[in-house]
Amino acid sequence: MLEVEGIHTYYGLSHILFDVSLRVEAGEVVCLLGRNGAGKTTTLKSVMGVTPPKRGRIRFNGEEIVGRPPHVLAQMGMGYVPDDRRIFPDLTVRENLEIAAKDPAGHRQWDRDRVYALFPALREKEPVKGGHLSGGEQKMLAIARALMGNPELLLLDEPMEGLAPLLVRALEEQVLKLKAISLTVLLAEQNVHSALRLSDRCYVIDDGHIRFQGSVLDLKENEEVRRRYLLV
Amino acid sequence: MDLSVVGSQLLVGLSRAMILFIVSAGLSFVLGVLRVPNIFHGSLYMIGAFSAFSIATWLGGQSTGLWLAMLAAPVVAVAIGMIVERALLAHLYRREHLMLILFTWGVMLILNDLVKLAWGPTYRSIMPPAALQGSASLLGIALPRYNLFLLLIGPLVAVGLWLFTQRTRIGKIARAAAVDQEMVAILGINVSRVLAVAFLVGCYLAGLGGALVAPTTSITLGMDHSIIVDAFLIVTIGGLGNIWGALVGALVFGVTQSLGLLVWPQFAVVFPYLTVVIVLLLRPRGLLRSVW
Repeated sequence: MLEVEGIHTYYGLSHILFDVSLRVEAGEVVCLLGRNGAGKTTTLKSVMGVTPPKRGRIRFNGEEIVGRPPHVLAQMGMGYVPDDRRIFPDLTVRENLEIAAKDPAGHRQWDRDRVYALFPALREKEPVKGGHLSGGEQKMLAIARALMGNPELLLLDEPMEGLAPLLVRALEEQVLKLKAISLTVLLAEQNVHSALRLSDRCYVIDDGHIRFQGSVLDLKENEEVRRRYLLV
Repeated sequence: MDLSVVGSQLLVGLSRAMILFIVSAGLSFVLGVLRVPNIFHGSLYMIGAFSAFSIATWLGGQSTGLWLAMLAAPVVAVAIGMIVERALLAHLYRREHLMLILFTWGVMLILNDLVKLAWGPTYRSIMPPAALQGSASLLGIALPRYNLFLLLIGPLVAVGLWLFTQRTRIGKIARAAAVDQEMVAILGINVSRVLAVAFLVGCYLAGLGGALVAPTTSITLGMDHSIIVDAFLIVTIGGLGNIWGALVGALVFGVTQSLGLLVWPQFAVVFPYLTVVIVLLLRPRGLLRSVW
């Protein structure tokens, strides 16, 4: 579904990603593991068209997408959950979801009721302004908001970051539910345990380079990669 | 001092404040959503007034013509504003504020010359529609009917704008875009189109203010300068980007102006500005919450 081939991305003059390649097949949950500042967020933003790569190719469902603006990619079926949540603070929970509603493929899997079923806490907070939610609630809302767009491919940037352990488990459950309905997910994580529980395959990124790729089992057995690049 | 004089002066001040509110609300909305300090907002107000004159004259100056002029003049302002937005401004949104001020100021100068070419340097004036001529009494105070009409229109515009931002999808998106345009785009929304609609609303309010002020004043070159200074002050004391702030600011401004006339007529023009200074000393970010 997603093929990233040798992309180089810059922030201004600084070169962030070096020849990054990865693939995500339909129905897979693929994890991009790495420490803070390794290039996970930049990789997702490159895919989403927020920081387009200067070189390299990205194909989504076979179409070349480098250079297309984010709103077009979203219309093509990409959803993005930023690591800093970016909930609209002046809009209520309901409004945050309403403005995100779209259905590009026309199969209408997600609507407000379904995302409330996935995150019951949000239903109770429906009239509350986004800016008044707790961090955990904002994480849930950020995911719910992306789902309202009925994406084929969901780019999840560190959904567990900064959450209490209990919430991490709860959120993992929700992501597993998404996996069960075979939503395709590219998940950026630094929490190795979460990532391994959730994903089918992983890539390890460090300093803007992909250092490892393989199945979850491969990574579990590869002590050296984990020690060198992931600090576990 | 006669209380009814104070009363009628107050009501005149309030009705004047309604026009200030309509223009300032447009300026504030554009400032809040697009982050553009639009100096040529005042030019669109002037164009609204001149267009009201021309349309009314063209239609024969009768009552229907005057009503139609009120409806159509803001559309002229919108058309001109949108040409500037689509052709030029839409490509500059990400520039720093100084550049935007210089750009919109330049457009103001150009529009000023175009107005001079189109209408010449002479004063123009129109009558209010027949139904709004003469005076009526409110709470025992005689007041021109047209001022009463303005007192009615102001709150209607406020409610309309509130409904637009709170109840329509595009209004909600505009509120979201005021905070984080990139995230709005990530949701699959064409932000450029949203900004254009928000700008259109701003232009419409400028033109509407011009059309409404036309029967109360002499329509002339230079009305763009005076309104834009007042509107920026109102938006600043009200709280940038806050529609209700524009209402409060306009009321403060309009009422101090008209009551100043009673207290010290020679210096009346100073009072609103003095009030602005006092408000900003006490609340530098404005009376209501600024979105900036």
